[in-house]
Amino acid sequence: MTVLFIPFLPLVAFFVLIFFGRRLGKFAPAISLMALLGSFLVSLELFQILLHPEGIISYNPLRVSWDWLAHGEKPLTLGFNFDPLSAVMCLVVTGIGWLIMLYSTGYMHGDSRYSRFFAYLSLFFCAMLTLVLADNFLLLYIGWEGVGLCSYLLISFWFEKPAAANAGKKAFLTTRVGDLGLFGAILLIAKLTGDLSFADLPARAAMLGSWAPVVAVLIFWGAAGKSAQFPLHVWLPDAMEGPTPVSALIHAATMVAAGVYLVARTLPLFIPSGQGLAVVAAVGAFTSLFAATIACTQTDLKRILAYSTLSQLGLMMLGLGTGNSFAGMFHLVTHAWFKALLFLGAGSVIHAVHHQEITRMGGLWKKMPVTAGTFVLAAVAMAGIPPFSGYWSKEGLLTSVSQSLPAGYLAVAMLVSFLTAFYITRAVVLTFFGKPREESHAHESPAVMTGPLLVLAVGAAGVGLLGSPWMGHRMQHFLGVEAGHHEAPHWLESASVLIASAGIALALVRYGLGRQLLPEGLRAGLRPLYNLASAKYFVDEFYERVLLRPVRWFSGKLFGFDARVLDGAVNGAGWAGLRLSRFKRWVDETFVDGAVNGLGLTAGWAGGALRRAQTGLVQNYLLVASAGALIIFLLLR
Amino acid sequence: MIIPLSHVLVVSAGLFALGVFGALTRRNAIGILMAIELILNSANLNLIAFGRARGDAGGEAQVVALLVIGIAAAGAVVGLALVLAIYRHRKTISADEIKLLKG
Repeated sequence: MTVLFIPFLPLVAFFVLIFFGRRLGKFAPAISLMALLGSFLVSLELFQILLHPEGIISYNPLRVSWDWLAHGEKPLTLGFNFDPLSAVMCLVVTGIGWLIMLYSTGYMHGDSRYSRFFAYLSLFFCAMLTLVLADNFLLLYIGWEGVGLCSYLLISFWFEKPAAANAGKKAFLTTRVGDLGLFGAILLIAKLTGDLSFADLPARAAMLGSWAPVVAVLIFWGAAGKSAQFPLHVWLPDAMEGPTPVSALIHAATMVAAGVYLVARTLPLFIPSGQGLAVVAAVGAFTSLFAATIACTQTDLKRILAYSTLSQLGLMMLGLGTGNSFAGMFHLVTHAWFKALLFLGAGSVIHAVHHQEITRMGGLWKKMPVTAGTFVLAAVAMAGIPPFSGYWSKEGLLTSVSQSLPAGYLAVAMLVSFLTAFYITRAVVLTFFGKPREESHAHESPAVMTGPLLVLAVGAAGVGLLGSPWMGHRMQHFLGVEAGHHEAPHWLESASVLIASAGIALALVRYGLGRQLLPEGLRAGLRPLYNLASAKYFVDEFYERVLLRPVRWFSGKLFGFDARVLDGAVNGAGWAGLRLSRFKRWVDETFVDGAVNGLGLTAGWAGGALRRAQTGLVQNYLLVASAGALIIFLLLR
Repeated sequence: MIIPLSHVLVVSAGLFALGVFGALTRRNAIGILMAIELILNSANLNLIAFGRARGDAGGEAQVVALLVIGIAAAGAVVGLALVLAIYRHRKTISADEIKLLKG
């Protein structure tokens, strides 16, 4: 039962804030923070029970479930289940989430919808925690839609900006395309196995038979929408229009990881069909490389981070594509810490200089030492320099890839590692070092913002150690993965560090010292490629041409049809009604009124005629009386 | 000499016709009243004649005739009073000009 507190505390906070938020004023965040802290502490407590299962519940995960719909002989059961995978997600979501929320109290200070923001955040946590704690597909889907809704609300939080409003719509519609896939998968699973629970998935994977690859690909389709994998990735960079804490929380650390979590959770359904895993690996690899190249060319700080997120999510998918859920999940956890830190650092910078162009920044480290220090730490963690967290997860991932997938995938992953180190170093150098390229009155952010940065920095540095050989692969044991089997070959360790260092070094030379890396001739030759990546490979334009324009054209036609035919029919019916009524009025006036008036007229006319008889002359009356008497006499005779 | 009933009836009929004619043709309201007296008298004559013809021992017919004469006198009184009232108001007793009840 205790597990219920985790998603429901933020829900209570949401209701309190949505109804009384304005009255609470600047105390509004306190409600959210307390509720989420409660969730975090409950998660921690349950986590302790999971770690030391002896005693009351001999390794029986805490769970609660109830029958929701009784249909057929088998009732539809909804329930929450706190198992190791959920535990990891809960701790990441509530832990990082709490820090980001604390940061938001500073970042959003003075916003006109201050309490609304925290209400939405609370709702998001409720949905996200429902998603990760759900023990069946249906409840997961409810949480899935909930986080999608909150993502929409928070991206377009500043809906006065058209760009933000459009980005919200784009995110909602694009992820909805993905949700369709997940929904289809749920329907197929319900139809074929008659049960939506996550329990004994491997056994039910067998029941799917030849449908297994279809279900796997449909689930991945849903995951691709939420985690912004290649064909559906377009919404994530635009989502950066939202407030930066939202970008950090939802579009870097937690919600976009939901797709990865989903695939990790349902991995048993992927494993029997090689095709499903192959699709996951291929899409993941492609997305990671694709987004990494774009990230190297962007100049908007948040967009660099957004494409970096895409790239890292691709890597996680690639890791899951090996059939080893730990490879993806571990990277998810470490990525959540350092990417949240990067985004909050970026938010702190944006808060100080009021724009996002790295070409206009520079030399900020003197003015914002805490932000710069933590940002650099996060960058190093992401680049994969030991002993920081990114190194361990990325290396685990590379090991898994090298053991389970063709060599091409390893090469792609290596290339992505190199590019990651390169672009994040570029961002760091251009933002914090060198000479200031523009006058600014930047100053360090308040303690309520730098505090979370420091705590996150500790996580970004240290959380990877939990899965490292130095601490005996604790995380692997916790998640029930055989650690020894995935021991990295030594050459891979060295290669991974070398590649990351090379990326950092090249970026330092290029952007720190300002030297061109390639000869002039080659640069001119590669210019079109650069432009292509800089324009994000024209995917948005492609969608505009191929999808949106036909849809708009078709909508226009439908509108015309509507206006002409349907409105015409309605108006025609109205016109016919009018005509019919007029005819009826004519009938009424002519015949019905005619009859009534006719009676009156007749009576009047008859009266007028009879009136003549009343002459008033007494002799006339007498004459008539006499004549009448005579007639009666004659008749009676 | 016994006068047969038919002769009396002829006189009575003539009197009645004279009365009706007078009532219908006279313009003077008093003339009309007089003509009505003639009609009543013709009726009285008939009463007496039929009473006689049936051998009226108790004189019942004559009693009725006397009653009619009394009522006729009363009617004449009311009629004359009306005529007098009309004359006072309208300075005429010509039946042609008195048509207040014309519809």
